[in-house]
Amino acid sequence: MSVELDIILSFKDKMFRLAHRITGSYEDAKDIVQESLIRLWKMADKIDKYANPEALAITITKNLSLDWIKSKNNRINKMQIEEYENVLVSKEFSPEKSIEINQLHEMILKLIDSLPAQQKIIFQLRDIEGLTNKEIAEILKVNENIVKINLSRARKKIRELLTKIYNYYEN
Amino acid sequence: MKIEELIEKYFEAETTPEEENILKEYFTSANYDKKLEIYRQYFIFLNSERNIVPGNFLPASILNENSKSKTSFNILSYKWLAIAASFLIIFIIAFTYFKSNVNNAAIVITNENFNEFKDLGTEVTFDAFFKISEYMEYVKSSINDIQAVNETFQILQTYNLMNYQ
Repeated sequence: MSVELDIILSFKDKMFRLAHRITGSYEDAKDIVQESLIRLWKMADKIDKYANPEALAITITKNLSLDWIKSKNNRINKMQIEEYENVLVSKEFSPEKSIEINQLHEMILKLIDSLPAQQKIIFQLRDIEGLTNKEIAEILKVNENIVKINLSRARKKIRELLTKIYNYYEN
Repeated sequence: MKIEELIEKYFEAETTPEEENILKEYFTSANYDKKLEIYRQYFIFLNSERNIVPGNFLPASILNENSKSKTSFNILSYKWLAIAASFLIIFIIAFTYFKSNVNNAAIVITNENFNEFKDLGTEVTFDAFFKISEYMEYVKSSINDIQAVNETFQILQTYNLMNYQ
């Protein structure tokens, strides 16, 4: 296996998680990552000239994922937080109010899926992939402050959900 | 800084990556404040998301191209070696065959190809005559030499007879 391919493949998991986060579909995320890998592979001979090849890989994946959303007009991204709140008090919990970890994780996932695309991407890159605000700003081509504001909004929405769940089960 | 303060800072997006690591470590350890259980679940969720991997998949085009570029040299090398070896064997056989047959080659001159070989025949004939004349000269000189030797022997014999009689 060539050195270039090793470099490209080292980003594969992050690319997949980002595509999966944006699209909400395993199969579509796989297709997007495959397409992104092909694009990276075509640039393989000059990949070592990029200061941050990982940022390049993430940027390609992000763009392809957003294109996918535009073309598919995915329903998941149209869901609103309120819908999850309704779910919270109606269907998904057992009468004994015993929340299971899987249920909680599922709810957080649904909430993240419902975030605006930019918040979702920033949250994914910072809280899951551990990139710095500066790196994210570079990938999204925005000001670092924009990254910070969006990250804060995303985290606060999650906190709001967590608090509601906590209060629901405490009362 | 207290964990509660760090949590506040985290949700304001004011924490540094190092401070976030402190939170992650705190909530994934056994010693955490039970009142903060919901946050613990959140950090466990983040951790589990980080461990999602897509499995081994790779676009066929990359796999093919990579394997092609990886094996093409070997395949080509073997190919060229085989071709070179074949040519060498053919050359050796052809050379041996030609060498063993070239002296035995005979030209049959017929009415049809007479003109074609006329000049060549003349040349070969003259060459042959020249060689014969050279040979004759050699024979002649040899005979002369033999005669000279014979005469010398006769002289010597005469000389001997004179001395030992």
